[in-house]
Amino acid sequence: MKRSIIIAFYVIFSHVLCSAETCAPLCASHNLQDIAEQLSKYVSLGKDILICPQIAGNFDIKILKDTDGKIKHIGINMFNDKMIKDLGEPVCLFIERYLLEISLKSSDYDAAFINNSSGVELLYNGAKISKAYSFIRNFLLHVNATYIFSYSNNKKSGITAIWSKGNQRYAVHFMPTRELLFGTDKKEADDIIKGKLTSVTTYDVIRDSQIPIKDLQPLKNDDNLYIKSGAVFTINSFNQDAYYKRIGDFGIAVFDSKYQLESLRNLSLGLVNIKNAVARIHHNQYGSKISEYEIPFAKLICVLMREGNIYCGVEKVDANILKSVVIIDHPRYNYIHMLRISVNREILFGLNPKIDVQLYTNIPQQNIKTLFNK
Amino acid sequence: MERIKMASIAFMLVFVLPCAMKAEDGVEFTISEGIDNAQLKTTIETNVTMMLDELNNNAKTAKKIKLSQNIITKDAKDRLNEILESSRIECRSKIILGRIIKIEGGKYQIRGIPISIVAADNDEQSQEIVVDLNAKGLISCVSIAIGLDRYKTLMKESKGVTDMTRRQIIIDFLENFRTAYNRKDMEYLQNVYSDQALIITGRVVKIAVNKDFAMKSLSSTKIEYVKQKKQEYLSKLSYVFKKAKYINVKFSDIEIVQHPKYPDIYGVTLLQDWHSRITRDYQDEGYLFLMIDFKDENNPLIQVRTWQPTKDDDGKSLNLNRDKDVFYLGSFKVVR
Repeated sequence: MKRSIIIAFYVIFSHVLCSAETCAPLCASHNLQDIAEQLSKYVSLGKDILICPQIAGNFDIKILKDTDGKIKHIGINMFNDKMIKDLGEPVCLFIERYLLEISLKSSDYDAAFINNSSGVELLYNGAKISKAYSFIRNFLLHVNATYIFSYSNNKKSGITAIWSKGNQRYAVHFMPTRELLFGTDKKEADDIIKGKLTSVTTYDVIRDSQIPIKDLQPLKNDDNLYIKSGAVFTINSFNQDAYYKRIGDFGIAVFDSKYQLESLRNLSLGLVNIKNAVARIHHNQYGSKISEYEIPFAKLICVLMREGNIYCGVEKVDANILKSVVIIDHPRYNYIHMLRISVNREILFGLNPKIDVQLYTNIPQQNIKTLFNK
Repeated sequence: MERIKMASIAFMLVFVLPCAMKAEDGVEFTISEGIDNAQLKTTIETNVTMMLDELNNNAKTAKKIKLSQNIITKDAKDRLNEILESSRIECRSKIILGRIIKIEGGKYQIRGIPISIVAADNDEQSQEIVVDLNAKGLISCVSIAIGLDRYKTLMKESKGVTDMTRRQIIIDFLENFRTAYNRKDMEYLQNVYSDQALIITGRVVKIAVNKDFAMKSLSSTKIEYVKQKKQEYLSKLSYVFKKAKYINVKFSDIEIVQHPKYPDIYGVTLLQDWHSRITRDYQDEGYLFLMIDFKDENNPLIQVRTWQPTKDDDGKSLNLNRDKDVFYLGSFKVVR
């Protein structure tokens, strides 16, 4: 009897202790959830700015939440608005989160896995430091407003953030990749894109592109059709070339059954607004999962285009089906989204067209040596 | 004199006028001038019309062209099929007026029949074909006016979109595959490895290679290769997943090669960086080769996985030459 009471007491006590450890609010990713749970052992996460010198040294801890109240960022509050504008929000938020994540560990051994597997280099006066926990504790206790912040950002060598004062120079160096900066793996990132596309988000209204005729090149075979050549992505066939019809001194982006492939290209590049056009999306997500949903075609293009550059290529087509492929490239963070668009010729130019889209999201590009080896 | 000669050649060249009038059904090819023999004229008009109709039929239905040897010679039909392998061809004009010119050996030629190369890029679609006919009016050769080489280049550019799309889908697949290791997702890995998958894992040994296990003659004699079946490999992996607190796998230097004979089979070579923590931190780096079958694009299957370490246990480089020592598509025979 006595033994049973002790066991019951132990179970209840363990449960209470366990609940206390996991009382962190819901977060947008596993990585953030881990950090939040660790941090909640030291301080309540109820406010947007937290004071916790034993973890953050001279700095505050910053929490950002999304519209659903989920934590979308936790980190050491290092950067002001100007710095964030210069360096880019994802980069700044990553550095803040990374410093907190390491600081929450209890030893250099504890921090070693994250530091070694992340590929982030920590440097003191130019020398690489392998003891990440000691480095960051030291950094947070010493660096303050008297230090000067600078950075270098190079496509090949990566990003280096530097804090210096006199002969002291702390630096954090890394290659920017989507996974590292956003702290989400492929599954989480694919779900986020699906969330953005299916939620009630506002998006820009696409207006038919209009360009002065002097900025366009006439096409050889058609007096009325003009082209605006644009940038290329990887191969010439993927580009930003767009087609225009002359109206007075202007070219208006063409959408006309007489110019079917040109029209599909303009639609794919978000240059024409087709009323009631619906994208029937087959979203190829992590784990061979295909989510199917329908949204306005303009919303699909606008939401995905927000942070990236858009390119289009026309795929081999048969008699009835028109096909294009759209790449949305995020060159700063080295990943793309890809849309394989196919639509029946008659449906495209009819009322309320439904357009099939195979969607592939968050495809990394930084780890490719060559796509076209023989 | 030269100008007169040029003008006569130009005059002699067939002038083809796509007429705005619309025929009821199919294409109607009519010779406007260049031949006196009425019977031969009718034969040529009939044969060219039938060929253009058949090209349009092929463009719509993808069915093989059916033209008898009374219309086209075998060599000409073969050449036409070679052109159609790259793209379907459509003749969108309904009525075509053509001039005929006599060429060497009593043969005839019609130039400038307007067609559309369906798979070409937008501004390259409109082209012309040249049709040669023998003395009896049988089609003896069909060629694209721009030349077969230029035509194939054009097709390659258009194919480039499809090819690159496929290769980006492969990169997407690899990212999912890598993520599955980091998430310790056995279910996904069970699904992507073919039941017949061949799995070869290299490990560094300090003794001579046991020949029973040597799968391939490599320059380094310190790597021993162990062949495993899918379930053997996955049950060992499952044990690692259970024991490891963290796993972080990274891929870099990805190279993709399409199989020359089986276009749905791709070989992928990459550098894999593995970090895990069980009781202590473990890290290794090696070349990973995957032979992936993309017959079902939504459910690709790994047929072969090989891993070769690039460093020994002391972290010393084994000096593997990526081009010579690392497994590649040619190392394995595809059985279908």
